[in-house]
Amino acid sequence: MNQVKVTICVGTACYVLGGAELLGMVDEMTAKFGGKVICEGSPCLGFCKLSRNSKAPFALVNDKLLEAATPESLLKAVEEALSEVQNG
Amino acid sequence: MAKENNAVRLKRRLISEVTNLALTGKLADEIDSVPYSMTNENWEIIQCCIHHDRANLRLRLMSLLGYSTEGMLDVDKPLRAYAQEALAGKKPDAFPLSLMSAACNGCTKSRYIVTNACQGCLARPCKVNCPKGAVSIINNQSHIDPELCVNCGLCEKSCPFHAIIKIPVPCEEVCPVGAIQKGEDGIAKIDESKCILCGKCLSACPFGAPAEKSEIVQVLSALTHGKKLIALVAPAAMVQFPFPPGKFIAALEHFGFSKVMEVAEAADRVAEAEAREFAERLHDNKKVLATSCCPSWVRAAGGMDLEQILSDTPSPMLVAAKTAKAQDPDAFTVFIGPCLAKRWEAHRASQNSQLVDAVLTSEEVGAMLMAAGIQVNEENEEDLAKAGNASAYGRGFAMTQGVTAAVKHALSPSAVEVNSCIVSGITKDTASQLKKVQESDKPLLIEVMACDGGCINGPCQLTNPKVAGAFLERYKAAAKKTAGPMLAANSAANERKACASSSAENHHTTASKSA
Ligand code: FES
Repeated sequence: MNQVKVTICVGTACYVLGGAELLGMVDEMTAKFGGKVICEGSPCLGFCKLSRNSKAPFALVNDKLLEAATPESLLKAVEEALSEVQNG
Repeated sequence: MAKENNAVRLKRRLISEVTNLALTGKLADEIDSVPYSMTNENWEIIQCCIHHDRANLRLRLMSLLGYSTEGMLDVDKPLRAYAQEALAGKKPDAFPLSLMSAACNGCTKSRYIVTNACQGCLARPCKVNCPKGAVSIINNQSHIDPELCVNCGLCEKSCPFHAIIKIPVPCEEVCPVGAIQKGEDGIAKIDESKCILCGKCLSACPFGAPAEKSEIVQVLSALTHGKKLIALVAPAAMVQFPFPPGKFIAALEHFGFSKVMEVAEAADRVAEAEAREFAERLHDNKKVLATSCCPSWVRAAGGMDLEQILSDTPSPMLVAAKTAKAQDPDAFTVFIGPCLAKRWEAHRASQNSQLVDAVLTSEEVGAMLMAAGIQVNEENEEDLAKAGNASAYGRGFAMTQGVTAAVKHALSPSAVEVNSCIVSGITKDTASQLKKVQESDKPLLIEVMACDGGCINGPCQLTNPKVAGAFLERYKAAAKKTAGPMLAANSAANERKACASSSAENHHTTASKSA
């Protein structure tokens, strides 16, 4: 298993607070990493309710939770996960 | 375009807070505490200190209540008092944008500077090319004398190392009509008579200083008072969520709208009316017609002295609202779109009759659904036919070239051969470009969209226009009505006769000039 799985929350809170922009990254990541990264949208992950939305949008890179994710932070987390996968 | 940033997130969170309070009847009582409750968890100071930030949050809340936030304001009047007025239905004034002077950073005047990349080369094109002698060499590096520099930019263009850069003032830089400018005090000001409400400064200012005067509270108050709310949803607003429009419609109903109408159906009729109008103009030997559905362009046309070429056909929003009010005069009509200028258009039209009671942006609706905890994807998909029966042409109004395609389609039975000129995004050059083409001696349809790409790239959209564009194609493909807009057979025949003379000589050319 050396793929990285990216889950982008497309629940309303996440989508409105920046998830829409993360979703726009999917094509870019597919082009960049090919089959090594699998992206999927997910219904509300439930985290928004814990933080009064202040930390949305959420995304998961494998099991790592990203808060207030931005296209940049998501890309960075994916690259880190990929290098971890490759190094062992 | 990186729309999603902290300024945008903050605005949406505030919309959501206000919605929550209004829906639970606590708006007046609790709104004054929002600047405090927002800043107690993980708050990163934005301006000098938390007090300044709270003062600005208070101003942002004022603009959400529909008030101007320009200049020195009555700091003693509690938000509670403003909220009570808004809840009682007080509408914002006609100009829907204001500049929060207190949030404006007072960015330094736009200027050119020399960076460390300067190599102090032998050629010194910067010095040679400067028409004002403002560049000198100090310690083997170029230096620009700000007193002499006129910001022409020749030095920047001539440097082979790209060592000279322009530090812009973001709002001034994007404004296509020079309506936003720094005053004596360094704080930006909007000249309302010049501003076309394209909203470019809303996205460009990293301090979120330009703010819309919102109507969310008026809508929420109508809802909680049991009024029958009808949502008139622009085609661009139908495709903001990554789910089928039928789910978005269901989400709006879940929120409390009694009925959802797709404005695209009215757009079909607008295309027919503009086609008819065009044929009539040709009959009168006037060759040029410009579309009038983009309210920013309508404002711009005034400033460019081009009003005479504008179509008289009302916009799809007004046509849809008229239908809604005819069906139910007591209904409270709410237009939803990614546009700032529609609020002005609705206000202007209300001088004749109250057709559109309020305008919400896609961004506001998104944040309101978030506040209500409505998950769009979990809704049962409504049948689109319930909202209307638009053709793919009407739905195509949301994107550049869509209106042209629809009007041309409607004109197709008459033998008029129409050239088109498409302006996708008003820029500083649009006025001169249009002045040239309006002299056309061949039938020319001019489509102008203030936003580059059309409404899906509106300043108050939720989603990236590329993504929305793909969703729009699906929405168009789902159209049940296969016949596009058409001039009625009869009138088309008449019109064909009527414009036979003018069309004959132009029959051979179909050129498309694109901007
Ligand atoms: S919407 Fe993303 S966690 Fe709830």
